[in-house]
Amino acid sequence: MILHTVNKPPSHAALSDCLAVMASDDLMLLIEDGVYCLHEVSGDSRVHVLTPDLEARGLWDRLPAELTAVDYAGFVGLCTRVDKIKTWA
Amino acid sequence: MNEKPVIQVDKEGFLRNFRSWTQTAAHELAAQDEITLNEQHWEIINLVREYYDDYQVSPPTRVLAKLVTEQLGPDKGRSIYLMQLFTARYAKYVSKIAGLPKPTGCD
Amino acid sequence: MQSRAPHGSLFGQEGLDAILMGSAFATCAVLMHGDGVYQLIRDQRSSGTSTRDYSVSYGALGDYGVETVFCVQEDLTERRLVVDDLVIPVTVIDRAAVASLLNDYNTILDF
Repeated sequence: MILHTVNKPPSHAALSDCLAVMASDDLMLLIEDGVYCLHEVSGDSRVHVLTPDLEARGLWDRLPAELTAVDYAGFVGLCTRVDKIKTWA
Repeated sequence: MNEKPVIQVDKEGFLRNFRSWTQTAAHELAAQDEITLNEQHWEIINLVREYYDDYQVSPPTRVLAKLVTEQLGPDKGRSIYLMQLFTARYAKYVSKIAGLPKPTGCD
Repeated sequence: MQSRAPHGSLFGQEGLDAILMGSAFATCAVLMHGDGVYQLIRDQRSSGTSTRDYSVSYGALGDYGVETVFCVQEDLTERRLVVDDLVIPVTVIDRAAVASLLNDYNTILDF
């Protein structure tokens, strides 16, 4: 089980590259500019979003219901649930 | 015991942390430039601090003149008036005394 | 011309500084292009990150004599944004009009 972190907006290839290889039981965390991808992955319950980055970009009230918001402690928690981490940047 | 709290400034005399600004700090900063603050100074300082609060930028010369003209009238917006209060480089010194960063474009 | 999202890099802040400074010497306009429109989203709260919310500074552009900020309709639509989501009033143009807009100016600074 892999945690995929994405830190680029949808205009970059990071998100689509990640989605192309992500397994059904993997997890995704949108961080930094990756939080702009939230509409592209709405409905995908594997996806988590880092709250401070969401707030910094003025998107805190746009989080789709199926996605899970996590704080920094939650980020650490996700890391402990997976075998490894893959960064898409 | 009664030592004044030391204000932290950079090498040009601008406050390092604008949150540490107080009216006392303003008097001290002004004294360093041999300016004694009176009511006329304060209305400009307060205006500039409000502007910074709204827009997070320190007004440079031409913006300061425009701002003062709009808020306090054309007589006070004249550069001769501002120069008498804050020296020829008034935009820089107003921001400095108000505890704000140096305006973009000032040297 | 601002083409990058805020917070992820310092380009946006540097670009805004360049506009504020450049407006002293020439007639300037700003084009928030592509991901650049993200810089204008209202209510950015950067207390949880080490970055700064400089979007409010766009409100000062008028005082600096920068009268027009352009956004591209398609860029907004693709990012599910409308003009009411933005911190300042903008002039919305179609993507097809960008080429002639760029032609109207002598110099283009990219950030």
